[in-house]
Amino acid sequence: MTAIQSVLGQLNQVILGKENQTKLALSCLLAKGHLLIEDLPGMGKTTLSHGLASVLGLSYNRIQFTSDLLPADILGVSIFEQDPTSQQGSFRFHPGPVFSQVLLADEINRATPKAQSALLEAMEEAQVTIEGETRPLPTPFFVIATQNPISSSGTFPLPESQLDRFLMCIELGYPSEQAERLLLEGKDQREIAKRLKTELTLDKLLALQEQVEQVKASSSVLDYLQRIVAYTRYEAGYQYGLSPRGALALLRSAKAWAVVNDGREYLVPEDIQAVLPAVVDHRLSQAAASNKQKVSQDILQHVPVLQ
Amino acid sequence: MTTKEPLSLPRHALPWVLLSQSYVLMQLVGHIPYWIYALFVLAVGWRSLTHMGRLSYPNSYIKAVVVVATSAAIIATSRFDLESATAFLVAAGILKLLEMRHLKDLYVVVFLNFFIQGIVFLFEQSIGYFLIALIGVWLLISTLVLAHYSDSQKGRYKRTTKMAAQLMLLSLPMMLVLYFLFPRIGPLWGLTLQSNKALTGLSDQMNPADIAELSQSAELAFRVTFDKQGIPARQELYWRALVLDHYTGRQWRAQHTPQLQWPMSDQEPTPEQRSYEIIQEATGQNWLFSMAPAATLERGIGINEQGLLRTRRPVFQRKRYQVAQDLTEALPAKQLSDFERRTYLQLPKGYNPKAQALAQELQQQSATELELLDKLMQYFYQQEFSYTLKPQILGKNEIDDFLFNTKAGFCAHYAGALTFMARSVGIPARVVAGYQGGEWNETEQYLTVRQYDAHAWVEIWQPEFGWLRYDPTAMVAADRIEFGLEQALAEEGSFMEGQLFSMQKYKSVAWLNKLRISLDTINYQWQRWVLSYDNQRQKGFLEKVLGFNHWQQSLYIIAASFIVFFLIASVLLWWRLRAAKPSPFIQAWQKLQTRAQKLGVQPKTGETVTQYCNRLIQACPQHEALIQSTAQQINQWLYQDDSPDDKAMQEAVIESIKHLTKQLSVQKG
Amino acid sequence: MINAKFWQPYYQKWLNKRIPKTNKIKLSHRSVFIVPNAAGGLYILLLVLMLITSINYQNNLLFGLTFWLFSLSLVAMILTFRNLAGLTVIAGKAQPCFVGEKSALPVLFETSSSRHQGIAFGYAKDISSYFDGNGETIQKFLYYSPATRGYFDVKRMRVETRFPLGLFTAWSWLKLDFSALAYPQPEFVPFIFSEGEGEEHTEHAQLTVSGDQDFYGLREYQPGDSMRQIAWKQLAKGRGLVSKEFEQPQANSCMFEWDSLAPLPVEVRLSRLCGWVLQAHEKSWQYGLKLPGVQIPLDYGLKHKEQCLTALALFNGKGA
Repeated sequence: MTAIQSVLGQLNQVILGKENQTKLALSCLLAKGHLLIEDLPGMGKTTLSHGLASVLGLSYNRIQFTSDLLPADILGVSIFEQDPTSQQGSFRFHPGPVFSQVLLADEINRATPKAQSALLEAMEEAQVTIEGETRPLPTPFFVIATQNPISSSGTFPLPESQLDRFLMCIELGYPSEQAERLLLEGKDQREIAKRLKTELTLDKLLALQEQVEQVKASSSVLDYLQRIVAYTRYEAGYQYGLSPRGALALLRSAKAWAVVNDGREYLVPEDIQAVLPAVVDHRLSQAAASNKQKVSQDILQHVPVLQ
Repeated sequence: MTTKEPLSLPRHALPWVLLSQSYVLMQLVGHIPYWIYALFVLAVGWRSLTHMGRLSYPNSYIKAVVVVATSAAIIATSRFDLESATAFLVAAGILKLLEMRHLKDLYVVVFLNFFIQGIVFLFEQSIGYFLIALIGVWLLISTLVLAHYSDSQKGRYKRTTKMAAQLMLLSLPMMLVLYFLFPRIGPLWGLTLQSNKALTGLSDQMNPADIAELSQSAELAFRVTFDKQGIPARQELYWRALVLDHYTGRQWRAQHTPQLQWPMSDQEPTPEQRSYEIIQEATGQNWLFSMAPAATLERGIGINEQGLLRTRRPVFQRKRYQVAQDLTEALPAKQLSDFERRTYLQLPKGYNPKAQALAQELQQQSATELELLDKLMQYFYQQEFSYTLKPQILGKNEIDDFLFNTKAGFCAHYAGALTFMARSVGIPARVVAGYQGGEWNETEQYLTVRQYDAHAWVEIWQPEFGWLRYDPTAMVAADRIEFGLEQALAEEGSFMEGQLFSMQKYKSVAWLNKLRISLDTINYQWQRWVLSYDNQRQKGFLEKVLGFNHWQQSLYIIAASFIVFFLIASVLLWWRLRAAKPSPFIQAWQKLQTRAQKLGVQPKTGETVTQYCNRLIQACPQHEALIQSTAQQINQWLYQDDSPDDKAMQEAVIESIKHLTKQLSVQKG
Repeated sequence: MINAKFWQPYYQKWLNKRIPKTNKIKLSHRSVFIVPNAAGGLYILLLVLMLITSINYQNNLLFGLTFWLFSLSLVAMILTFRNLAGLTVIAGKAQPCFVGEKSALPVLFETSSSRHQGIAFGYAKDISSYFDGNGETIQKFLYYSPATRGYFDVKRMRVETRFPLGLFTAWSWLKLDFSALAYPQPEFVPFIFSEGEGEEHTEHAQLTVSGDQDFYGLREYQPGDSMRQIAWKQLAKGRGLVSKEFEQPQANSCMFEWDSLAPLPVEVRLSRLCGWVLQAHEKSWQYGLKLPGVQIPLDYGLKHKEQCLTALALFNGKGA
């Protein structure tokens, strides 16, 4: 049983019946990307992120985004502190929740765009600049943001350009009947998540990330990937197509999937197809606004694998 | 066309314009005034500075002054010949450089240079110059291509020149068709500018000094190939060009112009005739060369009563023609008319009394005229005459002086003396000028006659035999006739004296001589097959090779080749534009899918190999193992090994797919 | 060209039939035309002169050169045609724009594997952009200012080439379908809207200044900032004058109605509605649109703005 399999095994104990999503979440982490979960409250988003952190032995923080959240609440602040003995005062930096290896940004669309962009900048640059001082974030740095898809008053959905910063966007969805029953019978899943066994050391995790980068993409697979990109740009009636960053994200995710799914050292088209909805849909949802069908479905049905 | 602002000159094309123009102009060195090159350097300098932004384009005053000054300079030195016309063209091209700012100016310059490159051929036609000119054309085409090349990447010059070469090669077939089949019509109008370059060769006045000068020239006079009758003995190679009938006391000249007869049609030589073909260099005269007794075979060549061949127009271009020599001993066609008799007995009064006395003395000793002529010839042999190209200057009675005093001279002296003596005793005689001998190329079987083979001899009328040839030079220097001038002058060492660098001079150096002969062979073939292809040759080619008897038919062929050209082009274009054919693997895969369709498995776009195969297994579970292994093989080949170009692997994969297809068909059957 | 005006409609009709409007076209025999251009005419003159010279001088090399240059022009013609044929022109994804604005329409040229050289394109009177390609897709822009709202109606575009020798011009007239929308020209006037279902009232556009509720961050002091805004703590630290910035969320909601602009002509009304939508979006209000036959409920965001503008662009007055 490989490390990955045991990690997945542990995770599936807490998130029942969501093997695909846990694999995607793990792939996203191994591909050094950030994850956006779009779902209703109470679907196990927190459980998944917490479980992931504990199984991998990573430090974990959670921020609940609200409309009054300030950038300082995320990044941290310098506070003037007086030493009682010497009466000398100095500013001391109190790191915010962003200084953790796994960060759950819950309901990111509730915060103001300024608070959002503070987090997104930190995600992009893997460092934080506060009052002119630059502080690096820990490695790995993995953000799981959740977003409530039901637009309600007083929310600020992430704009298109910001969505691109998330490697993947997944939905958890309702559990199956079977899983739901298990859930009802069992203990509080969050409790279990806290007590999960750590299966990986940091070194092993970094080695896995390295392994992902070594996955070989044959010319035939790259052809397929380019056909997908060309399809979104020129053929399908989208307003705009997949950016080069989007294309790279697709390749990186597919490589991670190959490692997570069956520890393969090369890519097959199935890998791309598996991650396609998670990688492409949130990037192109507005471009294809008129279409009822999801972008990934459209691509899967129209882009030939062999040509 | 649709743009308002004319397209500007691409910057990167300018150096090439200047380069190609320099190259073309270099070929005209010696034909146009040297100051034009100075003008060119100035123009190139100015234009380059403009190119670099150091100088502005000349304003209209400067341009006007330059144009007027240049035109004046050319007109002042103009002689209304080809050279000054060329100078005009060249100057126009150079001045256009100064105001070349738009693409359309580039066209004008390049097209002018194409024309000038063509004009070069009017001066020089050797194979060497042809090759040089090819490079010129190539450079000019490259310039045009470059001007339309927006590619700014590295290696564009290489690609441009390569493209130009490709263009030239692609247009070669059509060019050949036109070259051979396009009807060659005669000059459209007679007055064409001729080059002022002096043509070496015979003249219609025999000055001994002229012939001595000719003997120093190794320039080509003409080349001859013989038909199956072969080449006559060397002593018989007397190439007649002129009859000099009038003696003034100082020189012999062609006074009387006899009637010409023109054949009505082209004729084939009869078996009793020796036919031979001559490729003659330009002489600027209308006489042709032939051996007596000559017969004309071509319509454009007339023959006169002296048996000499003539053309209607002076020969300013190399000419190729066919002549026949009657081999049968023909009786004289007729007696001399009174006029002719008077002509061939003409002598100036009061010259050369001693020679006349000698002739009369010998006449009294002889019974017949033939015997007298023998005696005259013997006289040259017996007396101490010597052959030299450097005779002493002769006095007023030059023949007397020569016969009894200096006793040294060359063909002109001997021929003149003999004719004079014969006439003085009432025997009609005439000096014939032409060439004698030539150099036989054994490998290629042709005779090369050069200017130093120029010769003069005598023809004497005998009522029973007609005109008989007497060559007194042979009596003095038999080598001249049997081996050529070089042998005759071996002792004196004056052969090609002053022509230090002539290859003719170094015949004794074996390899040099060999090289000289091969070069000559190449030039000969070049002349024979390329340069002398005129309407006669074209007619022959059409009749003999293509079996045409009417020149209009060649127009049909030209039209047909145009159609073929465009057909080929369309096919090539279609080939290029057609949808790319799928790879053999995809073809095999599609065949499999077509086959499986009959089993109810519809192919879906966007399906991977594995997904499709899984569906296929559901449709026909009995082939599970085979389908699995095939899918596995394809996946390994395409994705794991990443070797889509590995032919052996591809073959194996295609084989498996075909095998599977067959199995599926079997199941269906 | 005396009767150019007369023939124009027939020519356009023929052209529309031969090269119909499309968003992707591969140039082929059907769509490429070729004729000798002015330089080609000059070249023919050159050939005639050379032929006359070679005939008069009976010079075979000159004959040869003349024929060679002639054949060269034939080959060049084929190559010029070939240079354009096989090129695929695709209408890229154009961004919608407002009437009166200039929009850059992306045109994609998909070059086939053999080289395409010196291809120019543009409108009839303005052909300037040159490019070449070797198997790659090249993106170029065509500038277009829509005169009326609705779907873009871009004039025929000319693609031409003179490569390799410039003796022939091969060209094609392409009508590309960019299927992007031109929104009505916005006109900015004070709002007239109904709040929710309530009565109409106007509001004058107000400049948002830094609010004073939620602390957002610090910025350089600007003259005019109130004393309350100055971050004294920072000043004490010796970091100079900085002002505190506060966020003032606005959550107004309004409904823009066709009927509120009653007597004005159609296009003016559309222009004003368009201006309102833009302003409301800028102020992050919730807004809706009520047109005859079209009703867009209160909402906000980019998608919503686009929906409103699309409705305005495509409004046909009949209410369907």
